[in-house]
Amino acid sequence: MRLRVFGIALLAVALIGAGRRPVVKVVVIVNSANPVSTMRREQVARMFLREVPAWDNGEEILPVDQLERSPSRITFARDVQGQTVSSLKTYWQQRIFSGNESPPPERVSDSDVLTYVRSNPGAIGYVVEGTDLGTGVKALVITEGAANADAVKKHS
Amino acid sequence: MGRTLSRAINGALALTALAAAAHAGHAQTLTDKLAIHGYLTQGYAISDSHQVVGIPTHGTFEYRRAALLIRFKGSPNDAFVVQLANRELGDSPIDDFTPEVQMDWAFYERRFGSKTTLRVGKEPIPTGIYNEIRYVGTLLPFYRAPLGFYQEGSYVSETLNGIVLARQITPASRWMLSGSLFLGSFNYLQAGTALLPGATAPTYAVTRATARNVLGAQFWLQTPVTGLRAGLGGERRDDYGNFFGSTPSTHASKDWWASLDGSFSRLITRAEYRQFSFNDGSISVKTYYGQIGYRVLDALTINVQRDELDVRFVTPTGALKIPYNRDYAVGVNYKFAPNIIAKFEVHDSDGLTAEEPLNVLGGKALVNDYLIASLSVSF
Repeated sequence: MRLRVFGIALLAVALIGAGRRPVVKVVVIVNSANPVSTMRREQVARMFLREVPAWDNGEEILPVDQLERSPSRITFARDVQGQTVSSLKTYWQQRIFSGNESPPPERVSDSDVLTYVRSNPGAIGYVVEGTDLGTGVKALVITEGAANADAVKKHS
Repeated sequence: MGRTLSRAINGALALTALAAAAHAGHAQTLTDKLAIHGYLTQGYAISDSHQVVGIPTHGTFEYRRAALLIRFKGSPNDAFVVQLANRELGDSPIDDFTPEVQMDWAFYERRFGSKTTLRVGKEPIPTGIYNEIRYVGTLLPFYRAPLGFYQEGSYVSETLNGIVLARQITPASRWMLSGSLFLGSFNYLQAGTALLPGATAPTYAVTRATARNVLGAQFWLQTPVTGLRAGLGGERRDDYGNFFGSTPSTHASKDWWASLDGSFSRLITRAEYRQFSFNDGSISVKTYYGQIGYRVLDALTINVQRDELDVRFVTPTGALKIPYNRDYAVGVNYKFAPNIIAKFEVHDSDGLTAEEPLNVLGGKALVNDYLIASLSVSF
């Protein structure tokens, strides 16, 4: 009986947590010194999984994420990485605790992401569409197709 | 009693600290070069009639696994990884052979391009689905990885002093093959009922043993079905100091395994088969398990597992096959967050794995139920 009550309580908590949906769009950004202007969505996704270590010019790729509860993170995970934030967290736990790479560092706001990208030539991040990028940062054109396959070092 | 209380307090303090860290989970990657991560599972376990895997009939809170992992990246292609671990296995005699805190991993990793990685030092052995993450409670459907396939309490048998070379063999595509080769040695603890040298009656004993000249491989094939992969692996080694048979002895052995891992949006199905044998044919072990997990709600998952292990001895008078362990389990997991999970599981365990009372090979299987309630956090 106690277990049944416990189960009902868990069900209620789970249902309350459901239904949150992001309503923002994001743009992918890099340092303005980066020669790349167009990338495939799949390439960006692989960079954020740290499967690609360096840009074509040898610069280390430094992906930067936003906090897991932020709408832009949820949108980026869904639209660019093709996964949920939760499944990505599980993926990173498996990577981390088998001794592999750590996930990208997180920043708490668009402003912090812009600062990071501006300060690191190899950085790549994302912010809410319409955010003033300021100087030192540029937005990438993201395609679904095979355009500009040379944006990153060949890795397949 | 004092030591028990002390360990329980230590566990509670560690859990509190890690829960706080998990709550602030975004802080784990300190800089682009240094990352610190950790995990902890604190359990309560009780058995109804016999002591198995350290679980006594009076219950224990000394059921814990925790680790702190530090990764320093010197360059995009170089990293140094250290992991410190603490594990408590209830009233198991194995606990007397393990320190409170141990250097679990210490290895240097070199990346060659994006497809090849070399590790040198003391690193986890790429074996099956769970070995490398076998103590990470937030990634396991039950408190522990399946007992027959992965064993428990050997402490260091899952790591290797040597090298591990991993490579993505085929290009990224719908079918993708990757593989790892490993070479080295490891120390382990062997526990079980044995007639030790000079003894007149069998006892439940723990001894230190060494596996040398370990050479093995693990391959994974990703399939076009998202979340489905198949694995095949094997190793050969020379074991020194184990007590299979009646005296400490040396054996060359071989071991192979096959894995099927399906992780889908709501359903997880996993199965593995493993066969180990001494080259002289005197002993062989076969074990397999199957797991099914279904995510009923976003946060709530129900898991079932069947885990079996058989041992076959060949003696001058003939072969003796022993159903060594049968463990059937059902569990419920509640995920407060991807890195905070509560579990409640019940096991029906029959066989010869009881640590108390003494259970002799060839004797009658003991029937036993036990339950484990645990909370796992990671950051």
